[in-house]
Amino acid sequence: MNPQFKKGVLELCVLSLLKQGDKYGYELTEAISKQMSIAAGTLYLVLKRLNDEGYFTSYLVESESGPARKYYRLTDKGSKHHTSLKNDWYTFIEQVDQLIKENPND
Amino acid sequence: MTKEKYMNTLRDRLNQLNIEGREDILNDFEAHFTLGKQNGHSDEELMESLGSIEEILESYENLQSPNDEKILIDGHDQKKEFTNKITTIDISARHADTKITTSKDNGFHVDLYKEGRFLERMSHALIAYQEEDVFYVKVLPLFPHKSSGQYDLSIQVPHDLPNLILNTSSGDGILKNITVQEIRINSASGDFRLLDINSERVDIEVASSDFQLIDVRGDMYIRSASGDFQIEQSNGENFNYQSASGDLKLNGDYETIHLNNVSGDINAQLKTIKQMHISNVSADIHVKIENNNDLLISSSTLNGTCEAYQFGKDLMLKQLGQVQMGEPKTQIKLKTISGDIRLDLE
Repeated sequence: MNPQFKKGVLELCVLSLLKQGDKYGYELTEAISKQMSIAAGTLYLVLKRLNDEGYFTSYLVESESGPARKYYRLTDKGSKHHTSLKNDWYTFIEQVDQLIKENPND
Repeated sequence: MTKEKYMNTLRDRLNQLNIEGREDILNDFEAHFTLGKQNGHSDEELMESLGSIEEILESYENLQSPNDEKILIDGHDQKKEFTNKITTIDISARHADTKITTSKDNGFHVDLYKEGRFLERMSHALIAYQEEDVFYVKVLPLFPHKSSGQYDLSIQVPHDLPNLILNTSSGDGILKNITVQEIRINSASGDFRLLDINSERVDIEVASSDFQLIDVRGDMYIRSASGDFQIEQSNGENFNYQSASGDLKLNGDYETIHLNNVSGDINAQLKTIKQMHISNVSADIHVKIENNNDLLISSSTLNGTCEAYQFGKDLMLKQLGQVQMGEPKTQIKLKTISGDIRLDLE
């Protein structure tokens, strides 16, 4: 997959996962790298960016083993952004889908 | 590489790049190692899954958050003065068509439209931010694509702009009525029109983009693979043109002219010149020069022809031939392999 393209999609993936419930960074990278091959380090930068933009808030939860975990929670702004990205995504794949289907050689 | 070395390298590179919030990023990475270890992964495995530091940082530019405090522009209704700090405006329009004009209120405005509908400035499709002395406007990579609709980027600029850089892939561009120190345009296939531009230097590098430039003042440096150029009523000191198969139609006033081309044809009409070098492989070139009497013309050709005409007189330049007229103040050098060059001197 084109790396540029994948980075844009990552944003949508992160927001979608958080839509299902609060998660901490490692959990998010695990969930996403299970589905696609992606440098997890990049994901932390995506998280930071979305956090800076106010798409989620973060809070720390003490853990019995190891350091406190930083959980992310989607804000209303993030939720709206998610809806808008999701719509764009479906429009996009629908259009690509049309193009693929119309190819008579397939 | 050990985990410590990995983290140190990351810290150094983040410091070098002066990335904000780098402590947060480092903490996230530390936590990743700790949690990963608890889940039974070795440091090596975790470093591999995080990715190489250069790979991660390379993505930084594309992921960068525009910091609200740094933003000088605000939607389409507020005007902000340019600070002196900005020396360059760098625009990446990708597939969006771009229009750059001078604003009526001397403010700086950036608007993005999709199918004619205004998109919020900070939408996922567009970011604008200042980093040191450069102001960036970027149409983001994912969605703005021809297949997801027509995007239009409208940029209104103050009267006197610093340097302007415009990059597009398939997006077309119109630059109209602007004064700018230097302009650099890079485009793959977008077609451009530049109308009424005041600049010290215009640099254009394109693959297949066609250009129309009318009333452009400033030195011109053009590199084109197959894009055609039509230039009218333009002037400056230097005109430098390199092309593979694009055609050039030039009507302007330049002192020093360099034309290097392979197979694209050239038709030029010039005023007083001081120096002209033409180097050509197989194209047809026709140059008409007004106001020149004192010339030294030398030519070399393998298989083509070089001819010069003046006042109805025919001056045939044979292979490696040389012709002198009056006091040779102006030097013209012509080289062709199999093309035909014709000079008309009035």
